[in-house]
Amino acid sequence: MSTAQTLTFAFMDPPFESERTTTFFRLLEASLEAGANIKVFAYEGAVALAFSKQQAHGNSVHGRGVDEEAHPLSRQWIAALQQKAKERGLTFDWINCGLCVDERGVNEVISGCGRGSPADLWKFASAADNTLVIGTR
Amino acid sequence: MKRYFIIQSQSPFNDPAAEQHYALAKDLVDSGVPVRMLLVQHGTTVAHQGTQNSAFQQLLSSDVELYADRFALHERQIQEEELHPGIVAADLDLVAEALLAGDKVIWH
Repeated sequence: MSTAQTLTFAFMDPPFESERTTTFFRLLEASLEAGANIKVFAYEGAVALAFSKQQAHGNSVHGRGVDEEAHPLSRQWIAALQQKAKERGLTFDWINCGLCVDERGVNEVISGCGRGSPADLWKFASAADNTLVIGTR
Repeated sequence: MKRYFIIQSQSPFNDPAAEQHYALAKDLVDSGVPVRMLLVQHGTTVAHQGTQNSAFQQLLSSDVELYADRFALHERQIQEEELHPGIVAADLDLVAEALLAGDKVIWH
């Protein structure tokens, strides 16, 4: 079991919408680089970040195929962070708010991401050395 | 003593509430609490020395330590030498360090 410090993050922005999402993922990576275990509670639109059926697409206007467009997918960013944590002997826990998932029909999530309730945010925050809530404006 | 670390993602040019966040930071530091503020996303636009905002000018003259996210500056073609004096370009590891040090970290 990791003895590193643990940071909890609460995030509510959906994929493909806001610059906050990019900043959030950069912050998660910086926290892993700093040697922290990570716990994420995703709610509202953020539950779609781990949706396993996200698909990349090309850009016919610019004449680029799927590979050339290299469209970023948040499910791949999460998987990359999971891998990074594993390589560093750190933990990376991700819980989606179940009601928010049901509302949006995004039940299929990538491996390593789970389903819970706001009580999990309380548990995460209670177990963490510090917590950051990134609210949607 | 607890320190505050404020992540400021809004610009006063598109969200008037940003000026309230500047005032909060200034009031905290004036009361003797160490405060750092990192400008991110559109919050970095006010860091350009060509901008004028009275609330931010007051913040600049306070003891609040001011930083601007290097990534966001780069996205907006703001060069580090174009920042108001006193603002330091930084990366997000600053936030991770603050969280791990137990600072009160607030996202605006």
